[in-house]
Amino acid sequence: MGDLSMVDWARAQFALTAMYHWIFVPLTLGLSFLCAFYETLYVRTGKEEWKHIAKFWMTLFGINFAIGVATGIILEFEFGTNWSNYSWMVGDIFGAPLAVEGIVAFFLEATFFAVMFFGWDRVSKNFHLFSTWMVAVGSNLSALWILVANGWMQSPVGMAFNPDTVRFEMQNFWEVLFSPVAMAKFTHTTSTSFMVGSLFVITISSWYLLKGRHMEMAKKSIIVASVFGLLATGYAAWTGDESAFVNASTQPMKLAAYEGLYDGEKGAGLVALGLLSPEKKPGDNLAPFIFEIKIPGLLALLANRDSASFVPGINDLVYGNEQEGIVGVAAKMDKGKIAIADLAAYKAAKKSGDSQAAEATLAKFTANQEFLGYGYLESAEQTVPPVATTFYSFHIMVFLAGFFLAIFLLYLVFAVKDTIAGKKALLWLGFTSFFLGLIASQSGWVVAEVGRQPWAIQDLMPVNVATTNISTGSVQMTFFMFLAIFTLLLIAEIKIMLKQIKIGPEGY
Amino acid sequence: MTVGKTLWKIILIKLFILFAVLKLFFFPDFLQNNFATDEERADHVFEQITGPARNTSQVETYRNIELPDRHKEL
Repeated sequence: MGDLSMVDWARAQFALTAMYHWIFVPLTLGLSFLCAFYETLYVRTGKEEWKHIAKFWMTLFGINFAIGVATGIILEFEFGTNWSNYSWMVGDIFGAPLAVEGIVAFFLEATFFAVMFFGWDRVSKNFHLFSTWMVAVGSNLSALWILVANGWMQSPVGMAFNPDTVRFEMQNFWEVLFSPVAMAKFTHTTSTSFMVGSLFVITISSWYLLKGRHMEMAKKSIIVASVFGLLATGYAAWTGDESAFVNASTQPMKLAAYEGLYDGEKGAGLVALGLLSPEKKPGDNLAPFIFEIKIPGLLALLANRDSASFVPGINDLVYGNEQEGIVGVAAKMDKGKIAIADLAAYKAAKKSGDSQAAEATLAKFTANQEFLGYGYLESAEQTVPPVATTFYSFHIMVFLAGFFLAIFLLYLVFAVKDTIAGKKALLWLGFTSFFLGLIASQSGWVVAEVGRQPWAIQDLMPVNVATTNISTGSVQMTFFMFLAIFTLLLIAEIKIMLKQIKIGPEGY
Repeated sequence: MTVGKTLWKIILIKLFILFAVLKLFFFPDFLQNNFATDEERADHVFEQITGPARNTSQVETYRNIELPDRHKEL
């Protein structure tokens, strides 16, 4: 197992590359559908103005796509170098979804992207429109497979551990694909990306209206984007509720962390607003909040679809709660250590040719293997993720979603009434919305990935067991290389986009 | 369209840096490069994940452990 310094640098590198990648992806997922809507309006109405609008947003989409493409592949490089234990053990599970993702991305996105971007005067109107829709569908389908893989990390289903190959082997592809966690992740991630795409259109259109340029194009773009954004917000709220419900059964510690719930209770309330006590630790007597505003019963409703039900807190999950039938982590750690010991004994018995002993130790291992990951922990409190980071990220994400709902609603109403150009204060608020959308989107991922700590694979493999035994220095070096490369790419994207935004849709 | 040419240049430079520089020189596949067969790779990962139990006396301790009652419900 790698030393902790190397583990933290490997973690930081993966977080850096994932977060940079996630600047480009939600815009691709959301703006692709908006391009399809604008072009559909052109083909249906025959009006050239919709063609100019479609081509303009398509150009910005193309810039983002071109600069963002392949930034995700770096994450796969990191699997092989920094996370070799993890990549070996999950290879059989991840192989299928990532292979399908590559094929879908290649055949749908890349092929039809070329037609969409370069085929305006080369193919028929209908085939071009079809290609645009295929780019939108293809990119969202790509996201599905990545999220299925991530979903499996959070809730490892449809598999069995093979102690001879030391791999988790897929037993049921459909169980992995349709796992409630994977489905909740896919639907919630794509719905919030639709919001980000809509906010992008809102932001740039607001700029045009503030400058008194391309007014008609801006207003028309806003109407479509606000409708899409509103629908996406509703969908995001529904899928967010589903995500919390799924978290309650598969990752109750994550749910407890993002609500700052230390002591479980019946009819647990949802913290609408709160300031955590920075000194609070699991098991102590300090109050968890300096102040909080709670909505009674709402967390219980979210978690269990029953506003009077019990929601376990961090302390219940760490130390156990006999009344509620919750086993503490200490017991799981003992079982985990036995599992590790029996696994080693099984290997030794096999090597020495003692088949009886091998069979016996394998049976014992199998009885305790669901606690394997706990055997690597040094204290029960290690199962608690960084509560403050998880809590504040969750609340930032939800608060901003409420803001976006208001933005989409107000923009739609005033754009339809054709009074939006005069609403300067609203336009300035709208101008900030894409940047806030990126913050909300990143915050969601922080909740998902910080909230699952210490686990690389929930309950089965903590992060510090997942890494390669390599030097910290090499990871540090590539961390700073990525920081430089991604920053350059981001600067290039901003510069090229700003140039096209200055030209505006009349150039198309 | 000049933006198209610019984007193609960026894509090609980026792909070159990713695959011909980063992958080749900075992101070797640890298990592929250091072990010849899948059996060797599995053995290596096995040693990594059973590290804490490799000490023989520890193995015996955990194999013979008498668990307190709180574990019975697990």
